Amino acid sequence: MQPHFDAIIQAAGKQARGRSLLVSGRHDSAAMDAVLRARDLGWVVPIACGGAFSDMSRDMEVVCPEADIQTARQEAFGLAHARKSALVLDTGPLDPGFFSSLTRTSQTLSHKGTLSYVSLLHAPKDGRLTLLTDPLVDHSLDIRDTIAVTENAIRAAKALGINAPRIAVLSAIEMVNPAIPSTMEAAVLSKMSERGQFGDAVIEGPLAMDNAESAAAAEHKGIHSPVPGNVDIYLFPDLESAQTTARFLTFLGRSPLAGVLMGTPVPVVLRSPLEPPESWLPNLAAALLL
Amino acid sequence: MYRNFKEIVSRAKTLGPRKVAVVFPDDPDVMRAVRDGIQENLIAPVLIGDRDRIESVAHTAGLPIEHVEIIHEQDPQKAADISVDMVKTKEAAFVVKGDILTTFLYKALIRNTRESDPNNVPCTLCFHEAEGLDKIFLITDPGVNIRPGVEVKEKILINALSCFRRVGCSRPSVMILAAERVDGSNSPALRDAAAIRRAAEQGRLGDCEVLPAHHLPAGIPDHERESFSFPDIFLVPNIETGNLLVKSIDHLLSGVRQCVTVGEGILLTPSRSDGYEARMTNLALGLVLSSTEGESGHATPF
Repeated sequence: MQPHFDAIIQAAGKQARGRSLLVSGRHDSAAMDAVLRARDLGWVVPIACGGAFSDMSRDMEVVCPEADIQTARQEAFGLAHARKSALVLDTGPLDPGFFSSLTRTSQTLSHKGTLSYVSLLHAPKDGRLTLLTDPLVDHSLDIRDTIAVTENAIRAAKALGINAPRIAVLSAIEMVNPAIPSTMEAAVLSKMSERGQFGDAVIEGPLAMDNAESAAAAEHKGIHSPVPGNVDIYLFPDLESAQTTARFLTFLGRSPLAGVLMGTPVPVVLRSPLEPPESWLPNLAAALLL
Repeated sequence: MYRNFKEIVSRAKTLGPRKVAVVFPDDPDVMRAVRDGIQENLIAPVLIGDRDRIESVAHTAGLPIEHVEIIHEQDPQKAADISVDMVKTKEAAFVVKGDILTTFLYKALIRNTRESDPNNVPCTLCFHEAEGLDKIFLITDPGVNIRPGVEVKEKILINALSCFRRVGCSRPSVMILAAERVDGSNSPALRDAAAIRRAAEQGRLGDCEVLPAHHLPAGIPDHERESFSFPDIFLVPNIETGNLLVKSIDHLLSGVRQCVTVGEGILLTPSRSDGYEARMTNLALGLVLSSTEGESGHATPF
């Protein structure tokens, strides 16, 4: 197990109140171990959906035992919506089918949220819980999308106990340069934050990683802000930079990731390809806190 | 193959002294590196910048300046141009960046490269050491090309391969980084990666291995990590990915990085925050890269 995400697991335990957990996807022993553990801890009452779980009936209620993965997924989303404070845990595969099910559910429920993924890690250097977004979902270069992704990350941070989160909007350079559009988006977010448009969250950008990580380096460049050296959320400019950096951090830093999917019509727990099987429990715990 | 920067420094001591152009060396750390570079027989510097300031900082650093050539030039762009021209005419082996904005040197290098060899693309190469990894690896391009197309990427890779062969690796392995798309969509980064693989298969990149994977594995058990053969060269899809990645390795993973920018000539671009030791290592890397010894086979861009 990962001792790393203990704080999240403990916080989830304190809120334990037997919420319904609809399980969909394929059979995945690591995921089912986490589900049974969460059941034993009193966090959730699991209900499995679909033929993949027909042999689980001793451990939990199984509905739609004849349904294939796609049909069962749709059913799980529907049941989760119909029950108060229910969640879905989807064991994958995390493929186009999964995302089209989500989209269909959003349309049916007229849900307007922007889908984004927030990775959680304990910074290899000082162990502090840090959020990184978005290493999984590709976003268009549209400021409205970027604002939604930022708001999702702020919501996740607050749910995980980070009040007034400090956000570094990252780019290759700290100067605003029209040749690098991500610097312009960063500047807009930074100004919006100055105007209080993100509540008590403090956003600074554009920042290169050296000024995000070191207050002295930022000061040297004339950036006077409480964010450098104290970052809670790294907002990456694109999928490529976020995922590549996340992979290097986990590979070289040996720092496993957890994560939460935001902007879904019902709360959905999954495990991204960036995470080890041990992350099922922290991922579920984090989703319970949202 | 040099496994770490220490080995590169040892090797450099057998290659010097080479004449090098140092632009705006009027900074204490830069000047101390120049002083010790001379003492260690690594370099015979030509100092370009404000003569009075150079003499004053040299005096403070304990560098006897009488036998050192100084070119008085206060304008940063002109100083950068002079230094890059010296490399072009083979008067100097490489350029060392002192207390000057990198942009001036990039501009000079880009101009010179365009004039001399339009097929060459200037790019920044970052060599890294990281804890728990018994090798040096290279990431490119985090500095010059913002959103390179496939042709530019191929040229960047040719430069990177050439440099990596000079640090003693005859057949570098290359990972062309592109994010995994869980929603099944394709991306320019993935399409370019496939095209560059084909170029490698056709022999356009010389001796190298372009790996089929486009990203490091994640979420794997420790024993699989240990047996994973870490690539030599990583080609990134855009400047944001490159820049954020190399600085994340510095700051979040306490790695050690040495940067050079190559095109028509070699430009050493240490960070402003680099201290003395990093600057000495940078000089050593410059010497090893500008030496043609150890180069295996493929056409050299500089």
